[in-house]
Amino acid sequence: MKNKYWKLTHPILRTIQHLAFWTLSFFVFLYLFKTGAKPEKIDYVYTILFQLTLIPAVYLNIELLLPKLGNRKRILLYLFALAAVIIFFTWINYNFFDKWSAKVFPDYFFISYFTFREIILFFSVYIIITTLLKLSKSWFLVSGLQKELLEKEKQKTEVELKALKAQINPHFFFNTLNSIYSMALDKDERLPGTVLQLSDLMRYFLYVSKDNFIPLEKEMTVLDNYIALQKIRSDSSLNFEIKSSGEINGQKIAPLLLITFLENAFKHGAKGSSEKSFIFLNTIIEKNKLVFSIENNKGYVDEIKTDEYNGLGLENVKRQLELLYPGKHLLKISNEQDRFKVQLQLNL
Amino acid sequence: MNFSDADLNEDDSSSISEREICPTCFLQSYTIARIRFSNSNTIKLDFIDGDFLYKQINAGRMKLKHETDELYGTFLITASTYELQQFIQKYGNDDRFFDKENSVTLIRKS
Repeated sequence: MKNKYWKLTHPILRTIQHLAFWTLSFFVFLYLFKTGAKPEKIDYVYTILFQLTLIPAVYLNIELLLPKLGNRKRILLYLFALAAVIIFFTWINYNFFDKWSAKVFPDYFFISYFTFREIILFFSVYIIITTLLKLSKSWFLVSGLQKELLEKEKQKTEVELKALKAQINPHFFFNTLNSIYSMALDKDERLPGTVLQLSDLMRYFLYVSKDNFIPLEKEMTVLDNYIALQKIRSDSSLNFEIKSSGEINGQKIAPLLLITFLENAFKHGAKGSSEKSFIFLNTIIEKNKLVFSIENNKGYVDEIKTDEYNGLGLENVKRQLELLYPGKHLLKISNEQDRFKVQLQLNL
Repeated sequence: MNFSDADLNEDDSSSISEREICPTCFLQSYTIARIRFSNSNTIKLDFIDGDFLYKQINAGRMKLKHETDELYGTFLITASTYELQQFIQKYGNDDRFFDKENSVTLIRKS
């Protein structure tokens, strides 16, 4: 894929940019140096020669000194080297027009029209201008690349989030379909209602959860639906307590975060336990802060089943929290002997 | 051939009274000549060859500030003293600049 900033780095375009700069510079010099009302042949010759002594000084600076020494650690060395370059090429310029040109161009008569000090000043100003141009160009390039890098990072995060969500959906449906399968085997009359509720959840997963953030009330409605779905197939011994406080309207949350904890609680707590099962769910919303805690007993299946898919949902949520709430969440998971506790604090 | 010094000093050359009468009528200028010592009794003055300078400037081969009088076909060098000094230092030994045919020879009377 072609870099967005190729115009700044393409060798041919770069050459054209440099040629344009020196051509412009030539005409500025020409009108500055001309002796009469309009430039004569000698003015062209003089300007070209003057510029020829300036070009190496400029390129030595921007192509060698600046890249090699232009950093904080070597700034003194850079300034010293730059001063040496300016003095050397000023000396070349002064002596060329003052002495050597008579031998090189015997039929053209000109002198050094500036004092040594004036030429140093001239060269210094020119070096500063070209250095600033070079630095601004580099700045544009670096900031552009940084922006591009940030965009790529963002795209990468988006892709990862999509993949994580895509993992959650089959994971969730796999568990629910297992329940439906059991109900079908038992010829449970609640099966049609369960399938209907599942279809509602599927709709949510398919359409609503594509956004990074959704209204909190939608996520809470999905939780309610899910609870209703799970209650149908849970045995009557399940002690399910739900508490909620605070205003949920106007708040936003990443989709599918909370449902994963709930699903986990039902999967491990509400089934397969030899003792009385329980799930305690508490949601507190204070200003822009959500505290979600869920606690469930551990069933015997947790001791038996240790396949590779166990814990996939929780790991997935952890990664989503890192991506969507960096530094804005606190997740506490407590795996005790007989119960499993999760507490999530989110800055909404 | 006269050279005009563009950097006029207020306190030299023309008398104050002349300047007061007509400030623009008087312009300080130089006549430049090369002195050659032929022997202990003879010196030669080679004056700048105005025609040569005029030709070079018109041909665009000499870079020196000047003003041209197109009516009479004459011209006046108006470069600064610094530039004139630099020019003479550089081309003072170049014979092309001097009119040898109209040199003035001064011989000391014995």
